[in-house]
Amino acid sequence: MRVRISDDALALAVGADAVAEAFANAGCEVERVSSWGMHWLEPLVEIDGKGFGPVGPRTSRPSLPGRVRSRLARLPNTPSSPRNSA
Amino acid sequence: MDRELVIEDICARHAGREGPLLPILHDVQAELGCVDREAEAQIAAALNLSRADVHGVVSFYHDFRAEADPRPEVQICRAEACQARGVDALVPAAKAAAGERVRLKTVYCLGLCSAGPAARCGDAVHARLDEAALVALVEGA
Repeated sequence: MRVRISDDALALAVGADAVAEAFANAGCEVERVSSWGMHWLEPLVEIDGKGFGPVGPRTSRPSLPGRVRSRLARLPNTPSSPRNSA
Repeated sequence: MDRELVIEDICARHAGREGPLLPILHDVQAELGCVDREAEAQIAAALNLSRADVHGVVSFYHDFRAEADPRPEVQICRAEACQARGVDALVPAAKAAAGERVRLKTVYCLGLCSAGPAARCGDAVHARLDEAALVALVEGA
């Protein structure tokens, strides 16, 4: 399963590296891409053509596809919940 | 190594390069912790520039320091977007966490306007900071 994760400065600032590591540790093939241009959704991961974000322990794990969720032991604690989107 | 030799070595490393001044200044600050007046004079002589030329560049960029300060630095963005996202309310807690151990610096801006408040520590940037995250960042600096 290929997971594409942004590598731009803002994605890094909200923990994209830790998210990428978590997916890699879960056995996913992680590909870093430049920028999605949708900062409010970062860390944004694309799985099989669908985007999910912000990915983090509180907000997005339940919305991930079941087969991904079951492989991820734990998502990293990243500042992934924009305060204005609760 | 002697300071002058360090600077001489850095200048030699960038000799022949187009636009060598900024890379030299970055290297000097990385190795010596600052770019002081003596360093400016030596770099100016090495590049055949006037001291005013070099000092103009050094003083234009706030990241260059005239005196070495070994403390870790945390830069907090307080430009318009981060202010609109409430950075001013976080600063007192950051100052308390920093004390004398960490140097807090206000910067304008880190380019993370869509996800402020933002801060930088070393080469890492951090966004969507709340008070707890900023304090943790300062304490871990």
